[in-house]
Amino acid sequence: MTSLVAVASHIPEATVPVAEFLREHGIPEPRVRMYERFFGFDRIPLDPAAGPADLLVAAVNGLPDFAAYRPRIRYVIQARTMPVVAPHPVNPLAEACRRLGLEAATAICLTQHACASGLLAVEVAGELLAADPDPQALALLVAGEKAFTTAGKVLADTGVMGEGAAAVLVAAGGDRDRMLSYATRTCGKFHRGAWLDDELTAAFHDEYPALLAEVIDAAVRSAGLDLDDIALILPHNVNRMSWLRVLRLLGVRGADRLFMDNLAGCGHCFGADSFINYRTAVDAGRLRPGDRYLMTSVGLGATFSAMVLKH
Amino acid sequence: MYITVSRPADDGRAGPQELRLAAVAQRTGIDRREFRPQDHDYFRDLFGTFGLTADQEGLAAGRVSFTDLVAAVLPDLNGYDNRFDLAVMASAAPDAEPGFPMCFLDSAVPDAGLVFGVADLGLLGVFTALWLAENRSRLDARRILVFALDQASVLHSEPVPAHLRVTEDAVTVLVLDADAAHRVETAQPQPVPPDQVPACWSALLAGERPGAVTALAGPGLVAACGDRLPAGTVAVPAGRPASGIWSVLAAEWDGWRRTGRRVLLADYDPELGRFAHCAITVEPDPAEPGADGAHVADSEEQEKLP
Repeated sequence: MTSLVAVASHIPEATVPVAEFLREHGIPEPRVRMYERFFGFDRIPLDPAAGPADLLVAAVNGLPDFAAYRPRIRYVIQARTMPVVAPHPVNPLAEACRRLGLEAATAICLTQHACASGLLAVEVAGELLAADPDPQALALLVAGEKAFTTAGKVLADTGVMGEGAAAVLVAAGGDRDRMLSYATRTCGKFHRGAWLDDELTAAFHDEYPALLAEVIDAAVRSAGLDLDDIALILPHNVNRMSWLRVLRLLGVRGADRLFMDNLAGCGHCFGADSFINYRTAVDAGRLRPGDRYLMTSVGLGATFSAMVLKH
Repeated sequence: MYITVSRPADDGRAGPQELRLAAVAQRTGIDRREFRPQDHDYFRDLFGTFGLTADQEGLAAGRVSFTDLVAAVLPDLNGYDNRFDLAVMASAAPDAEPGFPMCFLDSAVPDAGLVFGVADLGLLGVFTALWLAENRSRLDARRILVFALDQASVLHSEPVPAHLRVTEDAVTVLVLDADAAHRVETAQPQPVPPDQVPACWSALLAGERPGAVTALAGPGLVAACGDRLPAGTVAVPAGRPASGIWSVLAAEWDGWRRTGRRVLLADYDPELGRFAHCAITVEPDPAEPGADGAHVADSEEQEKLP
């Protein structure tokens, strides 16, 4: 069964107050206050000196014993949010692989699920490893991007993007953090992503809680569980208010099991959120052996995904 | 909704575990459209982070986006009830807009299945997409679309290597169906040192029945082989790094279906240092006149291919 062998995160040390960040991008003052007070954002980590490959390399270098794992890494999979991230033919993934000594691994950049690409990458990695003749083979997932252009830095009434990154080692077997199920649904009427017209933007915000609740429910049931069995939800770091609507639809009382500790200080770090949250939650002792937990993500376009794992 | 449950690696998956090609289609000559104001902002800001400026002349020239390309081949999918288990897009150059063409596909057909894209694979994107598709066929993906997308807007003045330069907006779509007749054999792209590429290609050809295969070499492979390109190999010109080699298949598809044909397609990406190949056995269609399966293209016939 697909399992997570190790997870590391990298959060740039430099942060800017979210209010300052939003004002710089022309967000009116009442909305700024809303992002702070109601949505829960406080500071955003940004590293202006770092390029896209730098973020990925920093995350991978945070993996304990990476050098020991390196010879077993057959696949490097980048989970990418933004549709175009560099001038053609600049290839940040290939650069990261070179710097990490992973030229021998097959490198693939997964796209089109936007911020939900991270969970897709776990699923694709698991199947590639299941077909690999070497049972010791590993896949390395990387996620996290540079925030650029206003539409890519500030998602209307949803999130403010941070430049955190994550690296995840995936195996086809093993008993640490086993993936139990994965559900994903693309809702193509929102394919214009961050550039929807007003009508579709309103529809997206209306339908978002139900669509996310639907994939969460599907993932949990497919794992043979119900929501009471889920010890912790490691979400994508968006608008705290929208999460309360999702929990209500799922019949979950309170938000104790929703891990939002990183939202205020990290913002929404593209496809890396759930893995960054995993790292923080484990370090804080929020997951015990045997706990079943949920990762979620939603990508522009729009793709809704949920994955159930066992710690 | 796509749902999967993790299982042991050696459980013996239920899917067909092989790909079969049902159809291949291509479109070119698609009208350019204006860049939207948000595209101007996007490329200005993106290129600015790399110390570049967006080319105003290029922006003024308009573009054909990946979504436009996918939309252009939608009529070719009507014969398949527009229901699929998986759709994967691949390109060598990035999109001309910050778009989500696979999400668009989801909105345009009743059931696109699981959709995603692969990128940053240079000349090997479609080969890799097919290899991934074969992997997904283990999970019972029976009807699969693979889109090869080329769009020609670059929007900056930095050099682009000839083999990755797109000169024509074009799309080729491969429709794979487990019930189709024509077997597709994929392989994981492998690292090969540049000086060993000609030998690698020759060894692959040596495994085929002499004269019984049409061998298509993509622009990276042609450049890597130089004057060591084996006789009879059809050299696919540069200009369509994602769709070019597959467009030859599309152009010859009807003819090869009449006669039957074994087709070997391969390319080499010099930046990634990897060699990829794919073999397709086009079975003669018994309903077609003259379908005896005995036709073998001679070298003169092969030279007529693009």
